[in-house]
Amino acid sequence: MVTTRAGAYRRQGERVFRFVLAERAAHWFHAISFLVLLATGLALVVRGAAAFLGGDVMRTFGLTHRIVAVIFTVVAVPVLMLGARKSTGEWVRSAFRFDRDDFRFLAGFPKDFFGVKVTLPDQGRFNAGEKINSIFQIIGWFVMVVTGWMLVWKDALPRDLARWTLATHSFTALFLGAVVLGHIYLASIHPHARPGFTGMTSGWVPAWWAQGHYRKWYNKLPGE
Amino acid sequence: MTRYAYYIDLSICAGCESCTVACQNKNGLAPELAYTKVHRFETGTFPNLKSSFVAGQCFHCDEPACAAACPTGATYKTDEGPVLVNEAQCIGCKYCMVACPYDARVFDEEMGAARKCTECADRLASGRKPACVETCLTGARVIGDLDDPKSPIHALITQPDTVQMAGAGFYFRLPEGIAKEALPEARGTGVVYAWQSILQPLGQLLMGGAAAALLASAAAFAVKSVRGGGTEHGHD
Repeated sequence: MVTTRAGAYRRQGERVFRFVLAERAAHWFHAISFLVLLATGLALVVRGAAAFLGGDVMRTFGLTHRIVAVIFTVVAVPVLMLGARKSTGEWVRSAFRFDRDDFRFLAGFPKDFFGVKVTLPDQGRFNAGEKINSIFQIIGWFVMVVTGWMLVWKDALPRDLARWTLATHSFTALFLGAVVLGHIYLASIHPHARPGFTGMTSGWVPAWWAQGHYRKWYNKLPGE
Repeated sequence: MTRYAYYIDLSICAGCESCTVACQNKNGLAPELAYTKVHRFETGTFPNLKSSFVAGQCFHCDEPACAAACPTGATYKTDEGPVLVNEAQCIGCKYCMVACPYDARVFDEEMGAARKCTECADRLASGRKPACVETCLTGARVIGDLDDPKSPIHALITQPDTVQMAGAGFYFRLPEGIAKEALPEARGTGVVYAWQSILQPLGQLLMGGAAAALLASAAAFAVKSVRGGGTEHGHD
């Protein structure tokens, strides 16, 4: 499944190397630009927020939104293509492929989410929940980028198209906002998932955790 | 109460555009900006062509799409009829311009605001007529109070050849030979309402639901650890 080329992804003592530098850099550029875009855009969507913040703040938000949108649009994909092409390809392919274990994982996940004891089936490098998050992020990124840049020139669009574009952009943003709340909670707070957080900082995660969460992947990793 | 209705008799409108100019003058608009315009068009097929025109402006809709789309509430509908914009509250997002089915919103770059016809609400409040009505050379433009039984507006809007703009207190009398299809038509406002009344609340509900679910999860783990479960990892 996953690349073991050059042994980047490997076991070493009590830890496992999970994400190379390009994957981590792309993740954080994407994450931080997304959160800034969400915060500055949300003010237009939440009733009363724009009036409360006032014209000057909203105009600054508008300008920030357009500047950060450039980072959101052009950074992540080239970084992944240059620094982790093979594993990115495998990630995308695996995200859209679900087997029996994935469906059984999804069926049991709600219990695990609320701390009820459940045995979940073995997973590959990304579990079925992460695959769904990946699908939302890939398609969501594309929808937000296309509709967002259309809106910069909305004056030049046919009115009907501009209306659909606005509706799509604001709904997809709220949807992705709901998804990212879940992602941040699982990655940094949920007791079963948060040991993996260091995978996105140093790149290393505890071996016991990787073995429990991604057994099919873990078993194929080269050792020291 | 007062409920204003506006009437334009296109059969006597001369297309002179003095309403446009009077309005620009009253509202301090740059020459390229106008709240009320005369749209010229041709009907028929060559060689039997007829040139005609329709004066148009904001129709002060009963349920204005521009006000529904406005994120700050700067645009609002008054009880008396006029749809107004508080220009100081406008943040220049232009959502109203996208939403308006009649192209009636005007972006004033200097002011950074999407301005609009106010039906001269300030003048009406002091008993005067709007600038366009006052200046109209042929008397084609009339404004009146629907709640005032003595207002001449009643006789005008009940004439058989008068057409009411859908969902607005705005009336046209068409000249002979011009079908009512020549009048501007409201299209695509359904999308604006679906966006504002369905998609946006649904999206907010999704975010709220996600927040509630993760708070419930965090609470469940907190209860478990207080009950002495300690730190428990893994699925098994």
